[in-house]
Amino acid sequence: MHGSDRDESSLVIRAYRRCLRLLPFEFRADVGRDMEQAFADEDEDVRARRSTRLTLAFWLRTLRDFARTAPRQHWDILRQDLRIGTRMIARNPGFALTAILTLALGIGGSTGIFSIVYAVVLRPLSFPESERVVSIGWRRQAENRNLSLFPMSPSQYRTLQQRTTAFEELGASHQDSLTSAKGRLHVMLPATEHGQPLIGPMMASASLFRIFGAQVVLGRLPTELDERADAPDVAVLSYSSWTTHYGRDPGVIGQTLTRHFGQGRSKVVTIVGVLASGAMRQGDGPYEVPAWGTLDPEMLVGRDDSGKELQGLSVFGRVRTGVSIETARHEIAAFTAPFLPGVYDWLALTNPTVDVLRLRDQMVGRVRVPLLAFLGAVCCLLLVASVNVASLVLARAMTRRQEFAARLALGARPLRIARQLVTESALLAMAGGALGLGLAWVCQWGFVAISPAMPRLADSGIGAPALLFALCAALIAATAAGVIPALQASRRSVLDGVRRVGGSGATSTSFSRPLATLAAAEVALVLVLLAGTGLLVNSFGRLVLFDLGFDTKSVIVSRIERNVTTAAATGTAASTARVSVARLSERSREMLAIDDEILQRVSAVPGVVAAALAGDNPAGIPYRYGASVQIPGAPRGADAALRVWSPGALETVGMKVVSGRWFTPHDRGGTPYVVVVSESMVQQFWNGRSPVGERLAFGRREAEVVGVVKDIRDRGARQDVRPTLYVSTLQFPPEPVLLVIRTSPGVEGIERAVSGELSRMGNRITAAAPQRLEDIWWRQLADARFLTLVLSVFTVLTVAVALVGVHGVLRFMVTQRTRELGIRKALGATPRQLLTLVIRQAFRFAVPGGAVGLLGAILVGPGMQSLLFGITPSDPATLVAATGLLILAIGAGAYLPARRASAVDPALSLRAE
Amino acid sequence: MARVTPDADPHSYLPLSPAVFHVLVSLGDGDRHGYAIIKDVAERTSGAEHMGAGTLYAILRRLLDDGLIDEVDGPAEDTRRRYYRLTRLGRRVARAEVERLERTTSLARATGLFGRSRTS
Repeated sequence: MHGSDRDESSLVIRAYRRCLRLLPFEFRADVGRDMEQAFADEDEDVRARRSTRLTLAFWLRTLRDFARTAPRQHWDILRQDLRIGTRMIARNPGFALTAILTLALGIGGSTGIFSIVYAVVLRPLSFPESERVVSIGWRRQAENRNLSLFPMSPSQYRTLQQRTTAFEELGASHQDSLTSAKGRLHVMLPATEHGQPLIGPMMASASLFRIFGAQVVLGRLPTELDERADAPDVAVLSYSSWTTHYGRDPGVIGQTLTRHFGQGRSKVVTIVGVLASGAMRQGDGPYEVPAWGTLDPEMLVGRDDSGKELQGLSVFGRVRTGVSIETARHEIAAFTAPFLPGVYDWLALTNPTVDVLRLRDQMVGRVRVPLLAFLGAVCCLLLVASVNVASLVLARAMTRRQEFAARLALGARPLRIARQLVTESALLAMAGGALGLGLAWVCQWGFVAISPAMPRLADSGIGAPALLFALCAALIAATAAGVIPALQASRRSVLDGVRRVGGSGATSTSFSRPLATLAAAEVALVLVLLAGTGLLVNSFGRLVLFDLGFDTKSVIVSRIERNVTTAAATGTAASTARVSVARLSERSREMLAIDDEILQRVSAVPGVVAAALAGDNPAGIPYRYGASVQIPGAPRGADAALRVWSPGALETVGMKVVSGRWFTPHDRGGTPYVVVVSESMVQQFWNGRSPVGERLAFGRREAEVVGVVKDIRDRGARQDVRPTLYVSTLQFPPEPVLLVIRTSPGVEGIERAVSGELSRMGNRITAAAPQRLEDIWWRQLADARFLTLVLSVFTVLTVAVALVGVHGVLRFMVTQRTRELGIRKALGATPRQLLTLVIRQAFRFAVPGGAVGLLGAILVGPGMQSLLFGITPSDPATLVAATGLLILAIGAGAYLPARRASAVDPALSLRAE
Repeated sequence: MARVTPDADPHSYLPLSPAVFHVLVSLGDGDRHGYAIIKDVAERTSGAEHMGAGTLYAILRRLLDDGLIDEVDGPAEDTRRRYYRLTRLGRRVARAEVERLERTTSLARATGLFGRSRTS
């Protein structure tokens, strides 16, 4: 009995001893024994009383005692460290300022960019469970990079609805033609936005509202009952349409909109609800679709030239809970084969598959890689900054060895000194972090201000995720900058410091190794960044200098709508017979007459060198993407882009004829159809043999090839050229038409003169404001321009920060070796020899660092592939240039310390010891 | 380690926290070791002030630092425990605190706080 009591007691004491570890070491070393004794005494007393209540109270008291004492004692030490730390920092403001600013740059830059990456790439979409919502459509193999899916036909959509199991629900949308008596139901976008300049009304299946989690503030959402053939057509308004057009009148329910089918036919659609603010936004961007009608089969049916069902439905689905996107993709892909016979001919030629794409990926796919590149670059900056501060702190720790040695001699433990160093670094990191948050805000704001249009960018900001990131960044910085020097200091200073205090003048180089390692790491990171940025700058140069095949300088374009009175001919009985002579309708002849007048008027404007008309923008998408072309003798058709240009366009745009001829004013209505083809089309369709004089068929038309022209890079330099077929505006009047004007270089205000001249034609035409083709081309380069600019800025910053680091490390080394340098000089070394000595020391860490950096650059390169143009990620010239730049930079960083070394006064340096 | 001269102004240490005050008072009766102080204070305050060892030794360290107490040898048969004794300064500080408390108490008594409730 007594024995077991003692066992228990010793067990309890052991537990107590373990608890003592919660206390700071110094406290424990000082009074730990006494506390244990006092505890044992009390334990014995309590045991003697044999009362459960008392024992329990004793234990509770002991626990409470620890809970109270441990934090308080730690806090006391922290306060003491902070006091010493701030005193140290205040005593050496230059060091502190360098460290804080460096860290602020790293933390600020990375946090700012992270906030953007989070808002655009990582953040979920604005409706519930958006991760499960996918877009479904045709993915063209040729356009792998482009994350767009081609729409589906109504029958394909119906089949998917009936036969798939991976989805809770499928929904579809299509453009609508709704108008309101209260005004235009269109949201105009700022001119700089990508894609369509306005957002019009849409129609959607009732299920789509559920897929996107839409809510109403008034009335109800459309349901499946509204989709029945006998049900009246209904629509819901967006919150902003309700506000701007109806003044938030609750009486809007029951009012009507009009749906237009063309040729003057229309239908009445009843408003049944108003969507909540922000619901069903275009691409989850800042703009609401003004109104949503229910799917109207009449708007969706139709057939193209070759009799294929029109594919206009954007299909969406909500994947069932527990079903992976991969499973859904697998199920959907199985529909490729059965659907393929029904798709457009030109689409079928691109080897398309039915595919699913997570909605968020589809929206941000284009900007994901560049943004991640930014994040990578700023993280490099953060790392370099941390390494930099680490080397600064380490260098200073070495100069403080005597102080540490004295404290050690007085009984402080090495870990206690490490703790002091970590506290100081944390202090620097926190100050840097606070300043960095300010910088992050500036960085984020600046990014949004100069960035080209980017989805979801508008509502980015420094929120909780960015703050968390900043905190982590600061912690990483503090750890990197504090722990390494602390470990070194706590290990080495015992021996070195004491020896020094003992009067020995032995200089220790043991510190130089960690310092050199840090400096090498810095060099490696900088080289990776320099190489990456070099690749981007290089490919940007190639993009700018690239010959697009047409001349964008001094060309202006203006979109013109001809207000013709004759109605379009209603679909005559579809005849399948081929036509080889251009027969123009009354309406077309009226349009051509207006065209003639436009050209005449514009050509007379002073400064206009040439004017032409086109159905499409030379620097933009073609008139039609896929005209299916048949060549007699060829087994099957192929697809080509179709462009509609007037006879004068060749000269105006600055294109070259390779063989044959371009259109003349004689190729007009009533004469046989003629076409001109591009060089790549010749390659692809005729194996390079000149087709001039041969015939081909596109759609129901048959034409003679009269000429071959050089390819143009209509999609910019990045994309491949595509085979293009040119037809004349005189035989194929496009609606609307684009006026293309070449002006004499350097003439100002010509846009206004042209606008003025066109306005004299009164209401027969509606002309948009003229745009410079060069501007359009420059805007196409916006993404590349922005990417290159931002990365260059970060790289310059990083190199600057790294230079400060390299300089600091070398300076420290020189200080350490002052005595040695003095002796060398006394023994006859020339300043030049001392200079090379230091520079050689710089390259002793720069060479391994550079080697690692080169390896890193080669490893990182492939990730940048999609951002590059015209060069491979391991482009040797770029790597050599980056390395050269780095050597120059290190040389510059080493120069000042080296000068200092060469100027050492032997007498002075020896006396100092 | 005592950094304070014995003739420092005792008032500069005031007011004392109740725990510190009790420790000083307990040592005023004679030299004691750690657990003896805990027990004494607990008895004196009928268990209201029952300190844990951590709290006590944090106080003792500070009092040692401030020179209010000293470490002394205990009885020859007890070598395992450290004993503490009030220094002259410690004694003066404790007395000053008692006087301060008395003054405070009499000030409070002079108000109607007690008198009025008793008469009414």
